[in-house]
Amino acid sequence: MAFQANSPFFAFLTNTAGTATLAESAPAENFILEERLSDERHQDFLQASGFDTTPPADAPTWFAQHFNYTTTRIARRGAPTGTLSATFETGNRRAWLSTNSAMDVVRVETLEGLCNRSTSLLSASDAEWQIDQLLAARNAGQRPPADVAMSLRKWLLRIAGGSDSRPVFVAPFAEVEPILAQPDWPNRLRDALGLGHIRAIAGRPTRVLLMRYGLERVRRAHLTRPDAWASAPTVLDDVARSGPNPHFFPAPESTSQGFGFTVDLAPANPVTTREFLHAPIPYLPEDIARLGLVTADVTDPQVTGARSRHRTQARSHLRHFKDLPSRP
Amino acid sequence: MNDSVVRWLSAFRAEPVQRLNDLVVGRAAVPAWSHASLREIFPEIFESESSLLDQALADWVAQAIAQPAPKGTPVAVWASHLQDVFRGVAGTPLPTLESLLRQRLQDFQIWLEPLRFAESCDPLAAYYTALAWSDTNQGLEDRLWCLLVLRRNHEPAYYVDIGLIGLSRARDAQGRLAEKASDLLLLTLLNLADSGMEQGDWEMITRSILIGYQLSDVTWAREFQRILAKHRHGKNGAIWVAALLRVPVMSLTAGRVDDARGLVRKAQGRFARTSSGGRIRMREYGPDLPPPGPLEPAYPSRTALFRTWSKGSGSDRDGSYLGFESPGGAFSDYLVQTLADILKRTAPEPMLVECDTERSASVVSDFLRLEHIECRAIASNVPMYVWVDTLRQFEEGRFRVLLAADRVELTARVHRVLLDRSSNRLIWEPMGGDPGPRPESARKRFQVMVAGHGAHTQVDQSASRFDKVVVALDPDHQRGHGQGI
Repeated sequence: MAFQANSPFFAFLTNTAGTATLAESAPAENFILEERLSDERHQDFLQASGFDTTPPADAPTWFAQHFNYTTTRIARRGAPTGTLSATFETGNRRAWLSTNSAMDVVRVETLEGLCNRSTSLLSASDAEWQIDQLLAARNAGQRPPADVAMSLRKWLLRIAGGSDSRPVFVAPFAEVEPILAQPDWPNRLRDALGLGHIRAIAGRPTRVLLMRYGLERVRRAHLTRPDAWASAPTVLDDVARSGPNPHFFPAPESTSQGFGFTVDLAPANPVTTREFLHAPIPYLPEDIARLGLVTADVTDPQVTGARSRHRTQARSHLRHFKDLPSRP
Repeated sequence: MNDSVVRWLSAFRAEPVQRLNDLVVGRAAVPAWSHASLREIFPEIFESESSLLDQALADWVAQAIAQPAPKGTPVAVWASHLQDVFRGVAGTPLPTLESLLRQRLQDFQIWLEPLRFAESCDPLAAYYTALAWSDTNQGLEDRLWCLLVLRRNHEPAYYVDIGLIGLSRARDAQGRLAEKASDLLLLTLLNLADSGMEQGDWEMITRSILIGYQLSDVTWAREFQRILAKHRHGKNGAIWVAALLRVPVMSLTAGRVDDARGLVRKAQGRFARTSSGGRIRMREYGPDLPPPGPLEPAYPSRTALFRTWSKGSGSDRDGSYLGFESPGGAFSDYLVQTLADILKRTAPEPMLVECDTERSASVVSDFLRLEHIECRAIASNVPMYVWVDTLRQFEEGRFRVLLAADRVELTARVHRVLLDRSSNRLIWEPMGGDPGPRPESARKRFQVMVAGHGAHTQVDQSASRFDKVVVALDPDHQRGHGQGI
């Protein structure tokens, strides 16, 4: 019965969801609407954060505890390398997803974000230059220069080594293929996948990589695991430093067939794209499909509007919609 | 600018350290940064508040040094926060913080080392990386970075990369980056090849370093050749560099001495030198080779590889060049080259090479490896299990040549070679078994091959049909020893 079962914390959520600040109201709304969390995961979060007995004093306290919880339980920071995220432990069975491993998926990474995961020998600029070479050779139907291929392989290996256990958000390639045909695909894909943290900063574009690979590799990488390797995202699976992600929206269990749905941030002609999580795998140079630039910012009103449209669309299927505070 | 970022910056200007702390520990609520790492967040703050960010970070870090995790924060989470901060500042020019990172190096080491959980949660590694990228990365080359590359304190393997970042980004006293790869960086890469690392891993690391300078392989070969000539180095360095750059090993290791010392295979498989009376002379074996004539004293130095072995045995000019020939009866390089030649020309069957000392076995094995011949030298002082395992691998064909100074008992049939330093001879007992029809010239019990003109061309596949082949290499031994066996 979701967080509704814990009246002090639920009361805190209801109050917070009613505030006018997007950074606080959106995560509170998501926590209220979440349908896929098992009792076990609810209890795990509440006990780890201490909110089972005392509700958070304020939103920053909640956010800090949320960050602590996701850092230890989801990212598994501090645990031995390869420790499974709570997302793929049996306590989260309710959210697990059975999907076709023949599917190709895509994911958008920022170059800086990738470099941040490792003690890489390459700077983001070095990596960009080499990726440019790799893609140019590939587009010309040639093999990439041997030293570039070797250096990038090393770069990606280091990234894999330095990455924690947090699950990976992906979307089916087939669903974003029309977007990739557009000239402005980086901005459009960013919006469609609800990646509001990837923005142009002070007028400078952000370099992004489109990663594309087959799920079969994920399945094989986790073949020896007794548990799942794919899951629907919940509000507790997102390791967010600056508050739980307001660009996320929990999907209704009844209609989503085990997937999540992205919040399209585009103000016009939004699309709904399925998204889900899988257990992390090391990237290969072959996974790098494109290099692009995100040139547009994402504003708070834009996010608010996108959430509003998404909420309206999903309203009739959201089991806990009635629990949201009324809005002026 | 994004609304939520504007609001946070406003609060940051009022209370820099407090707001920064909120951001680090996850108390901040900034939708635009919800999923971003500090490495992506700091540049946006830096854009408008560089000085404030620098000072706030320096203050925050200075307050945190040597302090336990804040109350209510698990140690792993605290370590994760620290790692995120150090990863976040790497490469961002923050002079106050960078000074702190450099000045309190030891404090950071003592504080952060116990907080290392795994590669994904290692604040010390992140600190080192930040220091490596900083402008204050000065004077740490041999004090820190080389030690990390070679993992002198048993650091995890990923510290190799950090050490190499530190070396490649080391700055001089004026704070300038070197325009080209330093000798120490290249020498460290060579030494890394002998640190127990796999060749494939070494190649990836080295490529990742070299590619940043955007020089051709020819230039790198020249650079490594220069380093190899100047410094002592291990067994693998030259071989692995040669494989990486696709150049002959000897072009790196012999350098200036190649044609005179006879260590480089010349065109058509011929060799082009012999020695007499300590003077180096070139003999002509093919139309493409230089004309005969005295070449000394243009080659004064030995190759670095053999310098260690021949140390104290004389100088180049007194006839002990390459360390294989000395008044004390060391091997001539011709003898060892002949061994390599036999190995290359005959079927790839196992060969036991008996040397008179373990040092000889080791040096000859170095030479053979330079010639791309898989071999191992076994010393008597290794543990018994190593001894037994090495013999087992040899008999299983895992490598082709075993060099030993002690008596080695084998169950498998192998070729045996005795390198006889006292007479400067190579005695080869081919593998037993039915040798098949023998040529008329081989009907006598022993066949003697005399060094000098054409000796190598005589030692070919057909030689394995003889019971024993003796190659006496010093011209002084040509007649006497050849007939006497």
